Amino acid sequence: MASAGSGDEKAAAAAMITLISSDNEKFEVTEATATLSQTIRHMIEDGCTDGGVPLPNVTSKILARVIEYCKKHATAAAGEEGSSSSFSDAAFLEVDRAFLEELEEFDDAFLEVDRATLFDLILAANYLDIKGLLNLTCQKVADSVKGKTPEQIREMYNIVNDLTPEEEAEIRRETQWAFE
Amino acid sequence: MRKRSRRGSSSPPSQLPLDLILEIAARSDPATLVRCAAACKDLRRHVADPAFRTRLRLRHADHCFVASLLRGHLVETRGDDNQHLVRYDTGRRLAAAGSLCFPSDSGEPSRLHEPMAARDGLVLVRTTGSKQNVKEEELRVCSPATGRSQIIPRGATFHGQYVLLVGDGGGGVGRAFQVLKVSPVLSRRSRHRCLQIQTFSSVHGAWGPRIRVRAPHDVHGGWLRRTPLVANEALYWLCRSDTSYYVFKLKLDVRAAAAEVTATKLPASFHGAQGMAAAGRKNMLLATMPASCGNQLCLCVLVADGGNISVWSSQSRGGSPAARWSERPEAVIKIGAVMDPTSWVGRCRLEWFAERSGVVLMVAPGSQYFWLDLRSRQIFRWPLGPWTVESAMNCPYEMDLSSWVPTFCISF
Repeated sequence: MASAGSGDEKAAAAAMITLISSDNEKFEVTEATATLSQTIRHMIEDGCTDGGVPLPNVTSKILARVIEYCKKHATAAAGEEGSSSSFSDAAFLEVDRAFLEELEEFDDAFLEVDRATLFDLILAANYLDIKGLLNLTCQKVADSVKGKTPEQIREMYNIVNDLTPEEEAEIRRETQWAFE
Repeated sequence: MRKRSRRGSSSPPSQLPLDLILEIAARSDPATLVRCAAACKDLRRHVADPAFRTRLRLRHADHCFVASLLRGHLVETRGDDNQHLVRYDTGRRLAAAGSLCFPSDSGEPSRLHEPMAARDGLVLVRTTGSKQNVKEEELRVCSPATGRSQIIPRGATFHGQYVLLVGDGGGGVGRAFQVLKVSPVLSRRSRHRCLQIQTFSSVHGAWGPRIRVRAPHDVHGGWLRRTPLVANEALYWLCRSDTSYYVFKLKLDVRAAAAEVTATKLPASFHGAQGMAAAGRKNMLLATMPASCGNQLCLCVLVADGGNISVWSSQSRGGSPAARWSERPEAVIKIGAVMDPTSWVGRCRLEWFAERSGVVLMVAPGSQYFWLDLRSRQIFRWPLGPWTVESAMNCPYEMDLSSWVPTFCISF
């Protein structure tokens, strides 16, 4: 277990953080992976990660997926740093591009989940403040909303319709172009 | 089996808070966003909130051309400083921000803001006033949808027409633009009619040199003071000499400080039918046919006469640059059905052609506005509102979908 207070452990390249899901499952991750989450980054900076970070809003199933995303993208971030400092030749750029493509493929595969999981991922990304994951998941949902009627949108988000039929008709008239 | 039960346990799906639903809606496309805003009152309120606009990152805007979004009317009612963007077909307000592009100036009551030209979502506004008895004039290009504007230097005075050309790329208002001063002048030496053009480019931030180019025919200057049609990087005017009607095409090469005017004569039958009309009557207007797309430009001349608008069109054949004008009107649009013409036969004015959305702004006596959609040939009447030709400062205006922001009249 990493204790944030001790100097030599801080110096160690792979300081580990323990994340605890709502159903009490423990996940050990590197600091580099964990700090993709701004929420956890701030906790680390404040030195309050001793004994693990409890995440009461995130189930183990979702946390496992979030960590999977962070691991992949933390490597990507590290890779970018490397490329700017030490390598600049074409061969390396080629590798870099291949890696970006791989990352894109990973993202696509990562999003192949049902809607309930996608919503849970959005909630977790929002709570943990992981910008990349939030953007990715929100865009995925946004693309799937395209072409849906207001009724289908209500159903999807579990929204209660508080508009009277007259109000609905009026709204439709005002922005007829969006309903054609 | 186990897998199934697991999936079952994750439903009913989690409820997303409103804020995240908005985050998702902001990433959709205009039509989907409007539909989201029709799901419940709370969502509608938030989408219509100007604070939401900074979160907008709509996609697919290029695939959906929403004509009705693109036509509006910028209206400033005299006597109060409020400006409104008004939808052409409903007369409803699109937005009612306090000062969209005419800055309200406290303590300077005698400033006059005049829209001089509009294109592709941008408006050129001239502000005149006096400060301690010194006359002041300011020119600015602004985007009423976003409220951004850029002041441009006034340059030399001239008596002619301002033309606004809008390109892509950055700049103070989000788009690169050019302002042209175009004036018909008589050359003192040769006594020939010329067009004098000076161009301001937002990229260079300065006015270029004055360019003078001789008009190929001796046409009446008034026609060249009307707003030209802009298409395929050229400016077009309908104009008239003593014996014929012409379409002048002006090609500008700003970098080489050169310009070229070519003229196409309209058929004799057009002159025969219309006679010697005066430009100021505004019963004729140059427009493009709805079929025009890409380089296949198809110009037409609309003529309002009594309860009809006749459409004379040209057709470019093959690769030949010279358009051939038909000998008789291609179509006659009856305007009587919507605009009761009995009281004002022959006095309808064709004010403006919206190049992107293909609609024509008309004014009937009694100061009523009408829009004619050249695609559907439908005429929309502006409902009687506080805005008439006399009571308000008007600027017909086309919004650009890239600067579209959700505004609703019906909110809760």
